[in-house]
Amino acid sequence: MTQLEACTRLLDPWLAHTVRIVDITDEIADVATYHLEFVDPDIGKSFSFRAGQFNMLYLPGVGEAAISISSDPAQRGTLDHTVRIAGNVTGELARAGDGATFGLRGPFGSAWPIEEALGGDVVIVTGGIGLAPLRPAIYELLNRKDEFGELSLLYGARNPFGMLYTSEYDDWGRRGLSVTTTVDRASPGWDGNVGVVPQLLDRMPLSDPANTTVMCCGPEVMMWYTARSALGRGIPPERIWISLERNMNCAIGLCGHCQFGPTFVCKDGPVLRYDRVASLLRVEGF
Amino acid sequence: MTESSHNDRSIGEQLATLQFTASLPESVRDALAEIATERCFAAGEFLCREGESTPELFLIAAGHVGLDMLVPGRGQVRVLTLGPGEVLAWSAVVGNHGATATGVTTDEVRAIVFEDHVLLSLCQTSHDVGYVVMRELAKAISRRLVATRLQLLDLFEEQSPS
Amino acid sequence: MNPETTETECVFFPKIELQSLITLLVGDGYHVVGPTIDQAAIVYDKITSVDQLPRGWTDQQEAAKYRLERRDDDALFGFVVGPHSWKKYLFPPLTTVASAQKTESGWQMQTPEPDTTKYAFLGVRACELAAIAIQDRVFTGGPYVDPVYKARRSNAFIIAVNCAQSASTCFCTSMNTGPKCSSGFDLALTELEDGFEVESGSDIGAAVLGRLTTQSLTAEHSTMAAAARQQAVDQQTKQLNTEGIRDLLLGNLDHPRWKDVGDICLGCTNCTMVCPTCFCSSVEEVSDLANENVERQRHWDSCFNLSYSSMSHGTTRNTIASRYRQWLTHKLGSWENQFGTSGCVGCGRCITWCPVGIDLTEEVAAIRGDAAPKPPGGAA
Ligand SMILES: Cc1cc2nc3c(=O)[nH]c(=O)nc-3n(C[C@H](O)[C@H](O)[C@H](O)COP(=O)(O)OP(=O)(O)OC[C@H]3O[C@@H](n4cnc5c(N)ncnc54)[C@H](O)[C@@H]3O)c2cc1C
Ligand code: SF4
Ligand code: SF4
Repeated sequence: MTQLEACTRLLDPWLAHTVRIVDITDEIADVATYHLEFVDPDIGKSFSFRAGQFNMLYLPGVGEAAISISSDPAQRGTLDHTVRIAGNVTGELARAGDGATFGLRGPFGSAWPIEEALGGDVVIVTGGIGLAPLRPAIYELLNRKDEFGELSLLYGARNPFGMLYTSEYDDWGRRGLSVTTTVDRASPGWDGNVGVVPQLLDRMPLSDPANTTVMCCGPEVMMWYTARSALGRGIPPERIWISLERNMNCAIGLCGHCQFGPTFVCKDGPVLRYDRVASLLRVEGF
Repeated sequence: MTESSHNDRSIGEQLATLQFTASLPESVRDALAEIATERCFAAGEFLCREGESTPELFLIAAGHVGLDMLVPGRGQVRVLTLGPGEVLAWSAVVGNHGATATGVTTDEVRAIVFEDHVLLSLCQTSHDVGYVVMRELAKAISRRLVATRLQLLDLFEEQSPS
Repeated sequence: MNPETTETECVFFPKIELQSLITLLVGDGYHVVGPTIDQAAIVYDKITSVDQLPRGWTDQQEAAKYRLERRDDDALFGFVVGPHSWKKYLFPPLTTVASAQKTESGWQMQTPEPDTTKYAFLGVRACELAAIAIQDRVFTGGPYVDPVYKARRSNAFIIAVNCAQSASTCFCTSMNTGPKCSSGFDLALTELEDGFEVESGSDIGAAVLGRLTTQSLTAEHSTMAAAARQQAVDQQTKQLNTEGIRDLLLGNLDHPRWKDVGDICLGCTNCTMVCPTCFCSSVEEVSDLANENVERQRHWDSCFNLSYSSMSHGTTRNTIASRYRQWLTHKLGSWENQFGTSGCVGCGRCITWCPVGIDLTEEVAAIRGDAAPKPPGGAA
């Protein structure tokens, strides 16, 4: 193979690179974080991503799944993915142990609007597994804390057992992220908030709504009502960002599956400005 | 808590920033401030009890209040937590027979408190005040209703373990 | 290859020279693909001889109807378009995009060597040139380039043929894609009784033409060729009003017509399979018994399939009405945002091959609120 050929082949968007599971952290029932490294260290060195982007994890013989990167974009060496068992690929992944290899294509998609949020306040509103794609943004915001105003996380879960990364909240709090959690259903012993997450936004103090950026990831209905709450609080529509989910097959805008009107969720999204997609969000079956 | 540092602000000033009253005309807020008192509660105090009459309407200025319902076999089940800017014990004002949930403070709470018959007679004598207060109450109830619907939808069912 | 065509001198070659062209291209290593009759339809397949062309046949088309009929002459290209399109070769219905092998040190992934097959397409119509130009944008115009399409496309030699007739399903004049071939070809032919008027559209086309025995074009040939092309324009009856069509469709997502058409659409996917611009696909795993050698095979998929939009927690478009709406709003609407062009070239295939005769131009007219819209499939 000539060098040029080798170069072009590397750019083949269908080519998955081999990754190895270095470690697995069990998070909550059915959800684990896989710490991965590239078997080819050169690829590992050249791989970089922005908070909010995702990879296609490829289990040969089973298929691919779109999974957000959940580690710190500044972290070198390993790449984390927090995965919930949902079907074939994610189920097979859950059966893999340390040392197992599989394929990875990426990174794909758009990122959280970190630069757009500079100088203002940031409210992260999310629920359930939706915290995974936002964790890299949390790390980045905290790493660059001085460049932002107040940082808040409003996090909802179905119940107290559905919350991710709970062991990190204290650290996040110390480093300047105000963490507020709520559950839809309390269980005995839970003395935190009960209620849905948009309510937290309804009542949180906002010192400068016009300069506040909302980053939201969760079920579409939840994001819709979060955006309503944000708008009600005076946050401008162009400062509200959501992350959409659609059936995804190729991740490179060629297979058509993830279309949402004019948007290809895989390459124009998954992170999208609310006002650009709002009119289509509540259209049934679109 | 940081919120209690606002304690030195007058009731009128507080009403100007709390969600329930912020958008009311200043004259109405002044009229409300006239008849309100400010009270502080320690964690674990009851503001109202399910089934019992509620002589006062609370507007939370700081802290949180849990709403519990008694479910035989499961005990007190927390259905909602309220925070700053939200009202509770509206039963009296809207004419229900007794509170529909038990309200218990979960942390230190500062509340703006209205005696219901005083609030009602203010609304009765000045329909201008009455109209906007009732409209705010309707908005608050509607927000609560939407939130309850979202809770009902169990949006994270697919997302998290049961 | 086939860049924008500048006006070039046309020449003439007699019918017999067409075989020389085919032979010459085969000699140059091309797989020549052209129209031929199979199972009562004119389809595209490999050919080596002009005798494989549908000499003396024409196609009768209307909504849900396609029938071959004898012509009263020996025209080689006396028909319009059939169920196949060239995407079958540039964007193969089934292709391997990657593979994986289990080795001692774990899984190794590969992508196939670029396909070096050279295709020469004979008989590409104006609407099909437009369709190829659209798929060029889809597969090679964005941030990610599809290597399979790119390899096949960059090697392709395109011999266009101007239409001398229109079917009742054709509406290329509405879409500004035809019937005259104006760009995107290496050679363009207009069939005359005794030969072809030929125009070259690229350096490669000119070079090939230079190796054939041609004559200069007489004024009479020139007039006849123009008349033949004009005949296709004159015969065209179907129209699609494209004015503001994107906003019309995307602004009417709750129009009751979607339900009406959803009630009769079978969701059979025919329209998307025959459409020369539809590009949806899915990749599937094909592995050996030991699951140590795996091929990732891409096959054509369709937005009419239920599974196409399904996720583990539910299906986005779970009614046929929502899937028909997706297809039409994409094709005629959001395609413009995505690729700067309509996704429809007006070839009429989806009308002909819809088993229940749904006609997209009727659907648009109904949504536009044009006087007395026909019921969906009303033409069938
Ligand atoms: C941009 C993006 C980021 C995501 N990030 C995460 C994450 O960080 N963690 C996580 O646990 N999950 C994430 N998901 C969801 C995850 O992709 C699906 O749960 C996963 O594809 C299910 O695959 P499966 O083979 O296990 O399930 P199956 O139901 O067997 O899936 C079969 C096929 O359907 C499609 N599919 C099914 N569900 C989804 C879905 N929800 N979204 C897209 N395609 C789907 C895929 O093509 C998949 O190959 C993300 C989805 C998207 C679109
Ligand atoms: S939508 Fe129909 S008429 Fe338009 S290009 Fe596709 S098949 Fe042809
Ligand atoms: S429109 Fe016609 S061809 Fe297309 S899916 Fe429906 S029935 Fe099939």
